[in-house]
Amino acid sequence: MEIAEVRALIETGIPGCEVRVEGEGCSFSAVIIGEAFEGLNSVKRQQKVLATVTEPLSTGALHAISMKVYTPAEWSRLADSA
Amino acid sequence: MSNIEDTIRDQIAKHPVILYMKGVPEMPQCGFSAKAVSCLQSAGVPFAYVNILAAPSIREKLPSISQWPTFPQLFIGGELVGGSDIVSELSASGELKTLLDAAVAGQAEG
Repeated sequence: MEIAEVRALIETGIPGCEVRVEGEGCSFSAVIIGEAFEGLNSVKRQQKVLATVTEPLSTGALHAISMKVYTPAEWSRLADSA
Repeated sequence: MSNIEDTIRDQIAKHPVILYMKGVPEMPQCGFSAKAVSCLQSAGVPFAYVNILAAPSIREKLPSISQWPTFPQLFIGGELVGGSDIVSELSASGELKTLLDAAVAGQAEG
């Protein structure tokens, strides 16, 4: 799979989120930032993202996706502290 | 037990800490599973595990029960905690040890 395909799936599944994907072949790492994650714990957030890529995961086109999920507020705090 | 879903729910209910992984703790068959095992081992709390490579029906069924498509999957106190990214984060922050201790203490009382 291409990075652009993975990004498109996540962006389509979670409107309004910002997605940064790295990696190649069948294993990726992604940072996803969106208002949609407000008030959700880590499991719920990742479940939301994983739900957008279940098809390539089930066919094996995507083997694994490692991710960090932030709300915009959390992301800007990280950027400030960096 | 004939129904695979019942088997899985039973495993999750019975064990305060259970890891569904690729391979076994002594020899994980995937880097993500290895990472989760090492986090659990460094917390020093005993855990149950299922090698999903040796249990294809569980590998097939669990994702629809847990709403989590990949492995490993860690359950503590009957709840999905997450995959290797979340386990690593919780381990680094010290929260994993707290969750594990609470689950094991709950088991001893119950």
